[in-house]
Amino acid sequence: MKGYLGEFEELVLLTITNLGTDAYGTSIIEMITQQTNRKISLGALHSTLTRLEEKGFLTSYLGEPTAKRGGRRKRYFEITQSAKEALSSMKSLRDELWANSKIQLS
Amino acid sequence: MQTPPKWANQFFNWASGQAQNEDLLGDLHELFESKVEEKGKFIAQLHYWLEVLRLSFSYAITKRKRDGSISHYYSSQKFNTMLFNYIKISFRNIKKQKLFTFLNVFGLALGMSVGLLALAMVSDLRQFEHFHEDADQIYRITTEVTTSGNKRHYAYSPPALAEFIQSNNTSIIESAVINDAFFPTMEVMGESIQMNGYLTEPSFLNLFDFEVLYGTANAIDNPRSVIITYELAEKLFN
Repeated sequence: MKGYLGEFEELVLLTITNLGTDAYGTSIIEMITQQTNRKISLGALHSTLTRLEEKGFLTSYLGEPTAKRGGRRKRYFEITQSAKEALSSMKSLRDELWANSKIQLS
Repeated sequence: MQTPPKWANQFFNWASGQAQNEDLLGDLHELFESKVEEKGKFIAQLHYWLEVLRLSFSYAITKRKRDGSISHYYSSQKFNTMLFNYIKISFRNIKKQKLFTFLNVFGLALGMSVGLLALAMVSDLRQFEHFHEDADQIYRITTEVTTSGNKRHYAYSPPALAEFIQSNNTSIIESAVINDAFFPTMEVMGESIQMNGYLTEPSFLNLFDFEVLYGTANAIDNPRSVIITYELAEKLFN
């Protein structure tokens, strides 16, 4: 595995899984802003997407041009097998840490 | 339908260089449209510019450029990479050093305003009274008195000097004696108005090209006559 997953990277990956086949720049941004109440610039998001692609957690392909958004194509993102593995190992690690916590967490 | 600012797109295309940016422009466009509905056109345009700038400096563009170029060390788009680095770093420094930035900007603003004021003043002084046709030939005689090594300058000279000089020096064409001890109080409809002016000779109007608006230029040939300024005339006669 190449590199660790950062907090924002994990958030982006999970958002992409939630969006299914409709995960592209604007839809990801809108979902994250709605759910986490954070303000993210397109630059920050695309930087992270690029890094995730570099690490091999994402693949992307260009869609067909539509009449919306000035007739420009969308770049759709999909998570890879290694992303699934990274996410689940992260989750199991967290579950374990939560389960073994000696302090009442919630 | 509203379209995003054209210049922003041009800037973005320039910043992208060879990098493929169609999908990014599309994302920007879509965000712009929802912003227009939410906050109106002006805010949306401002926001669009901000997003364009952020995206231009982002890793996404850097990476795409790198992939698009043939070699890492020799490519045509590298010339603006360093420029962007400078801009980025200067913005970071501004953000980090708030006090220092304030001092610098404030100092520059202060310096510039003082400089401009000085420039305006000097240019005004240099133009002052240049409408007199013979301005370069008109001189005022002042007095320098030396008593036991002490030098003193006075702005005035003895009145008799005018006559003396005129009859002894042929290079003087015309002279006028001016005395500023003239400050009458006028009674106008029960109101007293304080004025100040000068006592002078008829040749004054030959020396200086003051424009005569009403009456004739030889109005002061008579003793006990007066020429008043436009402002005072307005005040007295409306």
